[in-house]
Amino acid sequence: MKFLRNLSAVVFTVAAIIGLGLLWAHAYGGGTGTGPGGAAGHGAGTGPGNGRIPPRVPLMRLGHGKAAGLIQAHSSGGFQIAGASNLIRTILIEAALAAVVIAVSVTWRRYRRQQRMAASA
Amino acid sequence: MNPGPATRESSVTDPPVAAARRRVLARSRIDFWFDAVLLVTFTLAYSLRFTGIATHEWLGIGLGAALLVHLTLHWDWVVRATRRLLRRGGRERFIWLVTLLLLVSMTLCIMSGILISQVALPELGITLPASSFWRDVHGTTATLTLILVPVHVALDWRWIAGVARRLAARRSGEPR
Repeated sequence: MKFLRNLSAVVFTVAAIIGLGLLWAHAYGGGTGTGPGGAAGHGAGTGPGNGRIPPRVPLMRLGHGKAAGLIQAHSSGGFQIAGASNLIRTILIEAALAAVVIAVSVTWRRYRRQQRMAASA
Repeated sequence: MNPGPATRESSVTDPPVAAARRRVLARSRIDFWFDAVLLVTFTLAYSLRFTGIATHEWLGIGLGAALLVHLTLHWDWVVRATRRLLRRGGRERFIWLVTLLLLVSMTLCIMSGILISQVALPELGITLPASSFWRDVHGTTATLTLILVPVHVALDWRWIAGVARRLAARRSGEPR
């Protein structure tokens, strides 16, 4: 029962975020496909180019990969060993960020402990 | 975001306390493995060139459902942390802020991903008009989520290390 109550609160919160996102899109005037990226991404655009991407090799502009560039993704199911470097890069970014946060956390704890000890001495 | 350090599994002196500890450990174990699966799924979903577009999209949709469950499991923490926001120190506020940003970023990322879906939605018989706006939102929020996920995980590193230690000890049969 509690799970359902919490789930409904979560669904409400997520729905609120989605609603704000849709409002943002509406305010931006970006609901449907006009704009400079129209032909570059995930499917057909009605903007410049108005082109449907060849289904087997869609070009993705997702922000990850080369900055603001186009990266190529295969459309077949299943993992591609050829793209393993992409996975490794993601893991390295995550590991590096986590390491930085843990290092800062440990340093901060040590500092606080020393401060407390100095104050009590 | 987590229920705190895992407690010892067995205590023969006080059965109710032992039962409560077992419940806490069981819950910690569920949280640990569920969160681990979420992290692996996100890492795979982000690596588009490794997964390909179809797997990327299905992983993203699965991640959306799993995110709802993850939030539901930790909703009590969300409510508690929000209530204590003004009273607590900088670290707690930072954790709360990271969690909120991650929730917004991941929700928008998954939502925009669904709206620009090329494989998953058409397979379900749904076609939506393409949008450069949602493509840009998807790219930006994906990058933001990639930054926030490891920060969110690392902020709980003591809890993760504690549960991992306990699980390893339990597997090797050491009494803890």
